[in-house]
Amino acid sequence: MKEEFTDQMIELLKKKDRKAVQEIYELYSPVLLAICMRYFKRRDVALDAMHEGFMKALNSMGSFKNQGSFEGWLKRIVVNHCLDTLKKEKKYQHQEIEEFHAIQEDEVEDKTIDKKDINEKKIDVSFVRDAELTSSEIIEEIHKIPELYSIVFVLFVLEEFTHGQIAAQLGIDEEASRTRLTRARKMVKKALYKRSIAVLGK
Amino acid sequence: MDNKNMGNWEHELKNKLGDHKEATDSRDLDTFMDKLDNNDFFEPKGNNMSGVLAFLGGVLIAGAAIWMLNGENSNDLEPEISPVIETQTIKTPIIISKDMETVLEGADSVGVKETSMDEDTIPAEEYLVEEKIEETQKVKHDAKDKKDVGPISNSDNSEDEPKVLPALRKRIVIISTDTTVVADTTHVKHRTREKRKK
Repeated sequence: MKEEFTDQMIELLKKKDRKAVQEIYELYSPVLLAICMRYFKRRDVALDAMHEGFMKALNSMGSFKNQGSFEGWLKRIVVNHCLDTLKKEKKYQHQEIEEFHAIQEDEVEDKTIDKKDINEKKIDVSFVRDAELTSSEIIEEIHKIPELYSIVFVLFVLEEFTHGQIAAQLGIDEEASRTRLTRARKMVKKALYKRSIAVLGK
Repeated sequence: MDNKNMGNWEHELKNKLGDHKEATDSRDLDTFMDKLDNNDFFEPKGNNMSGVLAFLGGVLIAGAAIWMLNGENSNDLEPEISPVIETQTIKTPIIISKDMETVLEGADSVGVKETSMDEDTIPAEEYLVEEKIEETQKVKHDAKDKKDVGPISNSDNSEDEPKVLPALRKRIVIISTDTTVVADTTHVKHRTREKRKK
């Protein structure tokens, strides 16, 4: 139904029809903002990135050929814009920071959880399921890990990028992408487990 | 896509976050529309209209300018024709001021009656000479004959010259400005040197 609706809209968007732009915004902005929130902690920053990405998409409507999904095309443009914004801020390009965070993570001692439980193999994922964490809570936990890793995790798991694509986007080699993903997984799992225990404990 | 490496919990995570939506409100929409406006996204329609209007305005102005120039040129081409001024013979007596005694003599010969007014009684406004006095001096005929003779020539050989009316004979009005303006200076404070007290 959404696609049928957008087929009509696309022609109007190409003509830069004001009402069509408003309707498309109302339809896709919640989804696109949710995507941007994966990359930026603050809502206002995410909203700004979403607006910029949306504008880019509207300005390049001529290049959309009605062959694929309009929503997929729109999402990809917004994601790319988020990555460009992060690239400008150079938040994930410093290799030395990667090492620093890795060491820091290993040294973290959480007194609330037994070290044996933190072991990846022993973490029971069912806890996370049982805790019924909301999407916002999960995103919150992802943002708690260093951006260097969280971005790779988001791109690989949520956006379904390959390591090659991640490497190309972030300007790193594929091996670095794999390493970051491995560390990111551990961190995210741990963070979600902690949050689940906290929720279930209540 | 090498997502075969994804664990089950990651798949669950992806499904859950894939449906996630962050609510946006009308303020967000207004902000977005403002951004589009500021970036002239909706520009083309307005620009076309304003462009057409500007073009039409320019054409109108240019047309008006050309029309005005043409009008000026056509005026320039036409020869200047001065309007014909019909002169009138003066019949009224000429009032002459005090220092024009010599003129009075000439005026007698013309037949102009001198008004018997005292010098002092003549108001300042009447010190007017409405015609060149020289002309009145050179008239040798009586005032009655003046109408029959026609125009008066300045040259001595009046008979030789063709008697043609002058094309232009402007009236010259000389206004004497004998009135003196006396300013009231009672309000002016004069500087006085203060005598130093010894």
